[in-house]
Amino acid sequence: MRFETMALVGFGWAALATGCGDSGGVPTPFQPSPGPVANTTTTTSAPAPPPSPPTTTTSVPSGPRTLRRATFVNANGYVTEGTARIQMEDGVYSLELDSDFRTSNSAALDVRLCTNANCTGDHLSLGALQRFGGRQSYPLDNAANAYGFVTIYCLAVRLPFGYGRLQ
Amino acid sequence: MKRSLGARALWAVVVLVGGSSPSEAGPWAVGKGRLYANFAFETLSTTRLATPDGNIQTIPELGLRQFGFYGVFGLSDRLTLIVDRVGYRRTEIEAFDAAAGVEDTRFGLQWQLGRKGAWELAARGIFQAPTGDETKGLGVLPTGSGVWEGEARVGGGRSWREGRLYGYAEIGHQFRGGALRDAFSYETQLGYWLHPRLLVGATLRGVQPYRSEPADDAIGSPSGLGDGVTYAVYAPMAIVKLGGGTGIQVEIEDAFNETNLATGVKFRIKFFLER
Repeated sequence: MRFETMALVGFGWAALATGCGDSGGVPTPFQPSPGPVANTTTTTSAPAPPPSPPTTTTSVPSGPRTLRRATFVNANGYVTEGTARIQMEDGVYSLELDSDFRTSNSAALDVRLCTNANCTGDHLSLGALQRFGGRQSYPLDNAANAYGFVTIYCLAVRLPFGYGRLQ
Repeated sequence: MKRSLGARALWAVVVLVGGSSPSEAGPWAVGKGRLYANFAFETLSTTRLATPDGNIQTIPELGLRQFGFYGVFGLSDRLTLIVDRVGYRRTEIEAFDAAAGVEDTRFGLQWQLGRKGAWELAARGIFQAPTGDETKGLGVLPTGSGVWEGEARVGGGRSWREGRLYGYAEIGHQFRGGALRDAFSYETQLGYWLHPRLLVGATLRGVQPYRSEPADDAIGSPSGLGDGVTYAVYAPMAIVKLGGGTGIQVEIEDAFNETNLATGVKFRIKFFLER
């Protein structure tokens, strides 16, 4: 049920980003960030002496902005490496596993945000790992600042295969 | 103290027919046209997982039940046909999944290299066919490794005290297909006939991969069929001969120096037949 919900959220997000294109469910490709998102309105001063030039902000499309980043390390002898990012784009948050991500080939792996490296306390499950390697995206409702770690977690034996501290 | 004629005769049967080792391994041949077979049931219940880095972690309870057949037949006095294992296993992890099915099948040949006095030397080659299913239980509870494997061993043994005491040692190379790493294997056993119908003994055996870096392929990790599996097992045992060439063998084993498998105290009982 949770996975379906996430898939729907992911679809809606992708649809917004692509103008309802046909890429439903596919993570938005990474684009260079233009920096802090600008206000899209233009305002001009009232008729008065000209001292100061009109303050104008230019309208630019917002790109993904990395909020926190993590580098994976192995856990319990299983291989997990690469980087992950929590990003925001057009007000939509997501956890992105980068193209250098790779983990041990196993089943029942879950992507989680956790309060500690072993993921023994409070955690947020983002769903089943989509692939053992490469770029992939997991929608978030918010910046998830309560969680300091991203963890690849094996549901069968309830152990992390790898984790990264979000900084 | 003098032994009765009947007891002497039984000792002679033990030494001449059963060889010095009545259990399934060892360098002794069964002899041309002779047969030894056993049906085994073994059970393990544990919450102990040795992770690929060798740490022991607590996991949800894992239960394992196995049924197996083992048989050897003497093609000649020097060549023995071995059905090392035809088995069925059921594994479950609490609150996760359960899976059952036929295991990988092992078969091979043993060749007697020579005999000198009470010493016996032999070589053994075993093939392991991937008759199990490596995808069972989402790949976490497989019944086989999914690849062809094999093992080559040489061993020597001898007996003392008219065959009442015996011992053997074997070393070998375990070939593993696919991305699974090869390993060094070893086994040694000591046994003593307390009575013509009762043997007590102990086995130490294990495998040690040649490489120990983290496991890329963690599928089947708790099952002991994955990559980089390491263990040393010690197993006290007792054998009772019931008569008519039948008997029961009971073993209790535990492991140490283990990685990448769930371990714990395993109970095993075998009903065997010698002809």
